[in-house]
Amino acid sequence: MRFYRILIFLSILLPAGWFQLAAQEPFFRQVTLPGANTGFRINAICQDSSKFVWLATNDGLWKNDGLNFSRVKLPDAISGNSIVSVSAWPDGGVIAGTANGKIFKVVNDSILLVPVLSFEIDVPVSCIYVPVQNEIWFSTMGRGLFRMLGNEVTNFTVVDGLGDDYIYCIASDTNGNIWTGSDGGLSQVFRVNDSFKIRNLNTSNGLPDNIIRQIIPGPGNTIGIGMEEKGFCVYDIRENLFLYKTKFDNWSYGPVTSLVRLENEFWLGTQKFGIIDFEFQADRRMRQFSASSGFTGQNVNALLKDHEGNIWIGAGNELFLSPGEKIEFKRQIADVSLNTIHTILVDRQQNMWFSNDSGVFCYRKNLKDEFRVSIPQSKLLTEPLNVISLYEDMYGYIWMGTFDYGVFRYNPIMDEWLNFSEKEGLVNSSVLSIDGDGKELWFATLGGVSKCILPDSNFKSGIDFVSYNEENGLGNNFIYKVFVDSKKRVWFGTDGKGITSFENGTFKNFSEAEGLKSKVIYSIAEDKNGMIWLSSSGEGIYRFDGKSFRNISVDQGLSDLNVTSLIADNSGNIIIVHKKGIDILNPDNFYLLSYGSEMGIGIIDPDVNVVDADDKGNVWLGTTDGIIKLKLENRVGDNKPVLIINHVLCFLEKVDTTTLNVFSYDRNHISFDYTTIWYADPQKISYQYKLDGYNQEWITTRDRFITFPNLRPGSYKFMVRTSVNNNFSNAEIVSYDFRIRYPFWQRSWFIIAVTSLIILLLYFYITYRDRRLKSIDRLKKEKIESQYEILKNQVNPHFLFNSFNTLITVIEDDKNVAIEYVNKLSDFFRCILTYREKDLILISEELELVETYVFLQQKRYGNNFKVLINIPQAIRNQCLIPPLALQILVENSLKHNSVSRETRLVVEVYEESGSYLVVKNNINPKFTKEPSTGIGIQNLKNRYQLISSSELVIEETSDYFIVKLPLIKIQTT
Amino acid sequence: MLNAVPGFLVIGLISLFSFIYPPEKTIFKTSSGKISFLSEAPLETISAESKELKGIIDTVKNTFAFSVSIKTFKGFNSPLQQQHFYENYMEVDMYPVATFSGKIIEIISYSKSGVYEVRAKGVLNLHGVKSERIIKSTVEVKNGEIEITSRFSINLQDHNIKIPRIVFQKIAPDIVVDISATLQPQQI
Repeated sequence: MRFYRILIFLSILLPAGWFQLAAQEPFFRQVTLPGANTGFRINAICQDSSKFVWLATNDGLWKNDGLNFSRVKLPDAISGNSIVSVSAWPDGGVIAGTANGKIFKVVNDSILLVPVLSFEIDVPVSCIYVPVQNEIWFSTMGRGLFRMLGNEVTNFTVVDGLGDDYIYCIASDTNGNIWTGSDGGLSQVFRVNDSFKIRNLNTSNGLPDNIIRQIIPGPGNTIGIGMEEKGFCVYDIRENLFLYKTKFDNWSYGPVTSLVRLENEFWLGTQKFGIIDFEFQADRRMRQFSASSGFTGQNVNALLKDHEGNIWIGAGNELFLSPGEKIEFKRQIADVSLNTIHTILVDRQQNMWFSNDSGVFCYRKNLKDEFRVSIPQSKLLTEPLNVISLYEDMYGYIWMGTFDYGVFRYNPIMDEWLNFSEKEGLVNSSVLSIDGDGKELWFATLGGVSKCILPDSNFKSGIDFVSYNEENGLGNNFIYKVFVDSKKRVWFGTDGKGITSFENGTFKNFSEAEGLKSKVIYSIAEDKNGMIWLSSSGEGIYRFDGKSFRNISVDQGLSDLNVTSLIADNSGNIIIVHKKGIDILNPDNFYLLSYGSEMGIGIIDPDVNVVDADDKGNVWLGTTDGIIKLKLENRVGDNKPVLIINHVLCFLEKVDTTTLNVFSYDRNHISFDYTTIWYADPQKISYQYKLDGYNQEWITTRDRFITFPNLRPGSYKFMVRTSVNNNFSNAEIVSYDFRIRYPFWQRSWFIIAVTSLIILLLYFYITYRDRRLKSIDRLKKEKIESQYEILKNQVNPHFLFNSFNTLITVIEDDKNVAIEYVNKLSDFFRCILTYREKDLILISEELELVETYVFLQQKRYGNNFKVLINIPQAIRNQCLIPPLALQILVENSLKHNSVSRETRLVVEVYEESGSYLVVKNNINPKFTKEPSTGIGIQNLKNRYQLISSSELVIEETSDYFIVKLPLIKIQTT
Repeated sequence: MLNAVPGFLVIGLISLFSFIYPPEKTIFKTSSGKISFLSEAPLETISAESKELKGIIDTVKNTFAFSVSIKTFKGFNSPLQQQHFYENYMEVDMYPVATFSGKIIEIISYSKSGVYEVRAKGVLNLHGVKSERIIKSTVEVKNGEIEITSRFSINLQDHNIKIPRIVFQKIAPDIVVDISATLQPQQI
């Protein structure tokens, strides 16, 4: 009780007293891990080259797919083991280490154990570092440091000079040297020619603690070091100095087990006390994040800064995400309520001035460099100052514009106050905005504007105000904002008459005629290219390029049309403040990003123009939900959401897109699985896709999986783009070209081949038919010729004459023989008449004819002419012969040879080797040759060519004339 | 006889150390160090002490090994309490010895007299459960001897020492252990 009394007493004693403060804090939100129970523990976090975030946990490896985390299915050899380390593999995927010494890679969804040849590692693989493909460094808790280059393994231990074999961490410095932290301090492993040398740093070199739990690269050529007992320090490699040691002299937060570096801060993850934030740049202040920031973790084992600048925090079984330094909230300073801030200013000494309903406050450093809040109160007034505008002039004096009481000039060092109101020449005593350039100050009021020129720094009074109003060309007298731009033009935002500029002594008003639809202008800012930006009530924002106005509205992604404040930050962004939150605009490409609940921003409903930008690039906003500090490292849009087509699937099976983009006609069910990585706010992501060759319009969706069933053959281009605000105009397109082949019967080569085949077949058919017709013609012709020849021969007068002569002699001798002779003769002619129409006759039939003929001739030649026939019965009845073929040959032999007792003619007819019928006669040429037409044999030969595959053969020796007729077998049909 | 075996092993270890490093006084050891524990629970305070803590320090390798036989703890409030301690909690038949061995993180100049605050990192094997511990100790080098004092706590659950529900009120979840030992240089 007594303690409280002292407090009350002190606060009465010091109306402008000092209060203990609560620091501003970043925002944290928890990321859900489905199935992570109380025993779950995150050991390490990493981000791969495709920007996916991975977790090494005691319950396997987890991967984020852009929206959610899920367990990676591991093979039996690994699953069940605690994963203690994970690092990005250079060309995608990760490499991870287990608590029992196993190392494995996860690349392209496949898991590969990495064997450490000839070493038995049974202790945890505490850290893995892969500087380049194929070179793997890893540390173990008890077996030293390893380097694997392909299959070659090198082990560094105490024996090789390493501080200790129990190693917690590896990092590399800017020169590519490897650093490890162990129970024996810090070890540097560096290459000398072809071997590695080790240099150790421990307490004897000034290292505060020998147990080094975590190291990370720091700014410049430094290493940030987290220790078991002594907190944190930074080692400057070039200067060989340990920095910030004394800041951690009284460290009482236990082991620092994880580290992450932000632009100006290190976040130290501790085992029991959550995160300690150490700002190493300016203030060197340290702060512990409280549960009110959204961070409730204690055992912080893993920290990661992703490519968007978000900080991932693995704390026991919980995972948190924070925008980091980007945005911080101050909702309470001591007992000062920050829920209705009317104006804010951060001066060049980093003191923060702000006002609320209870007056004006200054949050500034005291002599001990600690920030405290004080309440400046002018003795000129009895009630608290109702300050609605603040400005710091070139001398460091603070100008406070009030409602109804004019403007106060405050000297914060001397606590001196001066007051200027309508009495002193100010145009109106309600000052809504103050701006200036050097000694020239402008005051925007409810009754016009006033200008003054500051005398030297020690002035006490005697300032002359020059005032302007509607009559001088000002749009109207109610001015929300005065803004002096880089060209020393002065801009006035009016309530009802648009914007007025003041340049070279003249006012110029811009309103609807110049394209400025909105009449109420709340706020004015200037971007780095000298463009003027205006915020309006109800019409969004405008850019003025000196000639015309361009409106940025909801269609361009703006979240609210009623914009209360605009301000340009150091990184080149325009910060747009409205009731629903904050939009950030890249003024060059109009890329817009909104900050809302994902950044911890709720309904902030701010007053008009409660913004300020300090020299360090921070933008400060006063809202009904406290003070928000924004610090953007980049322009928005420099870090756009990363869109990746994860898989292309054909009939729901993954396709290797590196090798395949042509599908056969029946593989035409194509799906795409894509995702956007935008960890800042994955819920805001939407997509547009289109399949060139299928549809023409972009289709907007939130789905991350799309299927095109039954695609027709043809060429396609799948295109997808992503946006965080449904404005796709600047979005990059990710595409996949593919083709579905026509079925082979629709492809040109097939059509050509088939057509040519048909043509060829047609050609062959025609020529064949042609040939057949020709041969039939020829056969007919030959047959006619042969018939003619035979007829001619048989009606040859010689034959008849000879026959009749023979008959005469026979009649005289023997009447019966004569009758037989005439019968035979008539048989002979009848046979000729019967057979001549036929193409082929049986050999037996032919032989009958020949025998008749021979009979007739033998009556004439007697035994001087002999025909010896020796043909087996089988051949006689099964083989065919053109009619009269043998007869012609026999007749020919009679025709060409003399037949007498001295020159007998013997004709042999026999079968040769089953393929020929041979007619052979001896040669006794006649002295006077009978006239020969030469048609006989030739005609026979031609006929054989047409009816048989074998040819008729003629052999002539000095003694014999031989004709071989091919045997034609009866075709059994 | 059972509990003598591990003790014998420790002695064997000690003699092995002394065998390997004979020439200099780099091995310091004791077999009569004091170790006591204190359990402060709402209903009852239990404490006991052993004067047979065996210990060895290798000053070159900066390593150490300590061991105590559980049955050498004496001074319980009652014989029943002692019996409970031996049989029910510590299961002395199965786990007769507690050991702590490892390395000393800090670098000490053993040749000079002085007082050092050190951390001993090693494996504490108690009740058959091994746990990696960093234990803070004070090392005083004086007259060529090493005097070690240390106070640390042991979480019973960590070492799977189960206490029946009813007795739970009597025994604190963490017990405080005090060690003090003077190690003499080992001459061969």
